[in-house]
Amino acid sequence: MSELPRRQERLDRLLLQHRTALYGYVLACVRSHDDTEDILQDVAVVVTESLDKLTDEAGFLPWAREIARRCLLAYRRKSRREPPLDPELLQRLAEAAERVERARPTSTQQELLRACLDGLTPASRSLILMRYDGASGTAEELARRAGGTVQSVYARVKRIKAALRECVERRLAAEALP
Amino acid sequence: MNHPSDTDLLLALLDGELSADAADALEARLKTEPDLADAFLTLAREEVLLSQWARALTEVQTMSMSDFVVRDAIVPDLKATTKEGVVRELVESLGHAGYFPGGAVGEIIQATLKRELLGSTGIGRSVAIPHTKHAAADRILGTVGISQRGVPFDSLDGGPVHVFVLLVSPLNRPGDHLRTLEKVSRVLRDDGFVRALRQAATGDAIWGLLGHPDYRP
Repeated sequence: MSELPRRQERLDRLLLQHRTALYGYVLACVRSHDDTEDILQDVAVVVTESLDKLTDEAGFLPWAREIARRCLLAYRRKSRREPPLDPELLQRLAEAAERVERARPTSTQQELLRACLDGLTPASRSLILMRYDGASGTAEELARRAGGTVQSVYARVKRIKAALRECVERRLAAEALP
Repeated sequence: MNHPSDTDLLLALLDGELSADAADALEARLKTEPDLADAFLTLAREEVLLSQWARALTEVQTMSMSDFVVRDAIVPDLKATTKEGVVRELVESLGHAGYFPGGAVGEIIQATLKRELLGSTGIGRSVAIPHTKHAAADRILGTVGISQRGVPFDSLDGGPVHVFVLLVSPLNRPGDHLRTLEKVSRVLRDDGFVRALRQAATGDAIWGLLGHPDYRP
């Protein structure tokens, strides 16, 4: 394989492997999925241009997160968002992202969450699926699909998510036992 | 984060549902309370993971188990009687079918058993889906093993496991990994399919069931 396809393959693999962690950080900063997608595209461009500067793949995520933070600052300058993003908050959240990744890697959270989703009743699982499958554009649409009022459906979603969180924490605690 | 109401506040911030003043106050806390910032990041990641899970689930309809199960690696009559033994027998079967270099087999066995420490993949109703990711896999590879006597697997319902589907995914295909897991776990929710697998006496009979149109939920 020539050098260029190999470089592209390496880039794709690293970006895919760490997309969820990067997405989580950017989403926490901008709180909009559309903006997060846009910013991650900018991140991918910068990562592509500067991948050769990365000497150790183990350092990819912190490196790419720092690129994401700079892209967020650039986004802050060009967007009309009110109030504008706070650079200090972006920095604190980047530090939090690093701590969380070290204490609980994204892949671990994903595995545990999936196992806990499998443990839900079919009705609860179906409701979470409807909430997140991208087909319920508005709260009213979700309520219609789920067969309830907006308030009652969101209360159910909130309860199920709280149960999922408890399940993940329980499994993590069990894992930490000697 | 110790207070449940903090979780509600953070979720409301993430959903853009807080008033400007409340959002400012919470952002000020996020800058000075590392535990709160960590919780916020964890919740944001949870949102991403739930979206990925849901979208993967909607994409699995067209997939068939015969897309990733290796026919020559099916084990219709498992000899192993322990969790470790079953994982070993199934991974070695994929290895014998020529899908991994010799050195990788041991690593894949260890990685699969390490994943079991996070919580058993025995999902109850006599079914388990041990899985891992490994660089030796160039695509998602799976095998099916049947144990007539059943193997203790720390399952959710405490019962022995008779039907095993082992999956090994490449490191760089997290979406496909998720979709495949969902596919398997969906198909194996059909008690009729599980019963048919347990009754199948040969690898060919099992293979025939995997692509059968009756079992494509």
